[in-house]
Amino acid sequence: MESEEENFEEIEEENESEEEDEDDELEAAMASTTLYDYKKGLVRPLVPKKTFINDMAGLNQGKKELEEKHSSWLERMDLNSSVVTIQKKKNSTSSGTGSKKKEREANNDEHGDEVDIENDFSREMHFVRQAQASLLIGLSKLKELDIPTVRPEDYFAEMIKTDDHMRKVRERLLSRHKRIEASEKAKKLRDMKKYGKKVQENVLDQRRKEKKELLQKVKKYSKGKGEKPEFLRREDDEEFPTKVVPSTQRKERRGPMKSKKRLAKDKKFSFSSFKKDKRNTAESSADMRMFPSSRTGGRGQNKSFGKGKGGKKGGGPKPRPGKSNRARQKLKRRNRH
Amino acid sequence: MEEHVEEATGQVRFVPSKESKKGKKRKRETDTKDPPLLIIEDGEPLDKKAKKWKNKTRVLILCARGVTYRSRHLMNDIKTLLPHSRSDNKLDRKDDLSSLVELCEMKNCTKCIFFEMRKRKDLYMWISHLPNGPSAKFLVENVHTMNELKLTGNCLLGSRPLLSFDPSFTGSPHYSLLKELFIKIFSTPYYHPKSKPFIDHMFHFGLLDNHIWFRNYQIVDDGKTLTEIGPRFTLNLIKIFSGSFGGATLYQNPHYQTPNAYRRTIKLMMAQKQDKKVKQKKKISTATRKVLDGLSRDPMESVFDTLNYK
Repeated sequence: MESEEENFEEIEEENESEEEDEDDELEAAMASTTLYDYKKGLVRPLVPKKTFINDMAGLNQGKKELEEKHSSWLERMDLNSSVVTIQKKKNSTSSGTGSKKKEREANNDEHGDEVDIENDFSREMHFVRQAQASLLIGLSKLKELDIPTVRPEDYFAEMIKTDDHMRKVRERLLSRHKRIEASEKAKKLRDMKKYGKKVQENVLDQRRKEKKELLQKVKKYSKGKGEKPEFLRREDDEEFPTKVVPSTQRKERRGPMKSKKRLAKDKKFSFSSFKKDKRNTAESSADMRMFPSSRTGGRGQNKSFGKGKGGKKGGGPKPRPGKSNRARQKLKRRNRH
Repeated sequence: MEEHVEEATGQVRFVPSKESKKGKKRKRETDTKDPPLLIIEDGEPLDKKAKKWKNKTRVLILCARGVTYRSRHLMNDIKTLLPHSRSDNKLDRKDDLSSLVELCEMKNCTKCIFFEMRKRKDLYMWISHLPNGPSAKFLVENVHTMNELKLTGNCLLGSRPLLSFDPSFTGSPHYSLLKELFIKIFSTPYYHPKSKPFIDHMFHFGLLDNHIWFRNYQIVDDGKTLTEIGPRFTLNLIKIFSGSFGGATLYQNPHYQTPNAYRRTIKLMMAQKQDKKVKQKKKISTATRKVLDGLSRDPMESVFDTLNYK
């Protein structure tokens, strides 16, 4: 057992040291089935971890080779940002343990910056902050070396983005700005409307209240208990309190004011204050004044109802004679002249 | 053409002769109608500037056949950002990557950025130092080209950038090597003829979630504010090789997951979810059926049944 455990440890070490020569040994160990996870009390073959190459010496060597040529800063222009990235863990909650919080605070003191990768804004802001930190160093270096960072206004040269592209960008910005403005305006209007409604309600409430109070007062007064309401008081009326307002006065008050135009029209076309009832009644339908019998002889009346030749029965003017009769009459008339 | 022997590497290169170079320059001067801009740059004549240009690093930027438009646009953006870059035709897929070494030599380039695409989905980027390495291969993710991003920043074409790095780039050897590679590739050589004398933008290499995030900012108001220019992309390191476009592996990213594996896991997860749903539905339906069965049975049905005692 002990020997096996030792073997296991050995193999683990082998896993850590990524030497290719020891792969064969590993394979041999696998074949002899000594790789079992005894610690967990399970008998299952232990799969060796996948190894990843990390040849530090080679990396350093490659870096050195690269560094050799053109190593002055003006050729390289590289800068190290001082803002450290602290990746926000996906499951971390805002209320961490005390020690963790302290750690985070300590990190923040060292220009650390907690970043939520999923949050675009936080990520981009982090990059900007990092770039700005390194820019501070870079600008001071450039100042020392007397290299201009600001283009003089009379220096015209081709830009990376074409004017056409920049125009599009500007248009987009403008349209976005407009959209935002419009939405804000709409919002304001909506709010105003809401406020106006509230005010209206308040006013109506107030009016209702006043009316109620007034009615109560009037009621009290009519029972002879309360004081006389203000609107009923008149200077000459103090000694003779009248309970009822004169009808003429009341009539004047009733109804809305008529405009001048309406009044003129009323004068012209005659306006009666009550509306005529247009519907027929038994009386109105029996009324024959509209059809004077002396002229139509009742025939017109019948005709209007479309009831055939009832006209012959009634009196009145004689019906039109037949054609031959008319011709004879015509002849007679001619002969007379 | 003259045969040039470079002192440092001892390599033979073909460089156009000085006379022809001068002729070219003169021609250019006469071509443009704005001579003071070209002749006097950086406050001194162009000839002097050319003499001061010592770092002759050139970067070959190219891609393999079969890249989609977005990655091609990204490549073009990088080309415009690096005035010391050169371009070449798309590489055939059949061609071996080692042919790139020859190509770079032919083009006088000591650095190379190479894009290739698999399945028209996954963009890979090689950055390499030539001819002896090292090189690194990345998976490029979250690509947003300059045209796509309607960002307000703008800078001079060919102005030299400042390079800003996350502090953790110095932490481990592989990241410091990458940093060195980035510096060599992305910093424009001092006094490069195509460069402008003003420094008005900076590249930022952030390190977050084991990815390298590239951002390009314009320096506004004498360094008081930064506005982004674009493009944006993230690099997911796969491997670092000792040679250029191959050789022994120096580093392998343990956090790297191939896009195929990633898609597979997502698909599996979705499948499991669906499976669970179906099973639950089945369970519910059987349960309801049982209840319904119980309801439909007439309770008086067995009233007149006699018990059979045998």
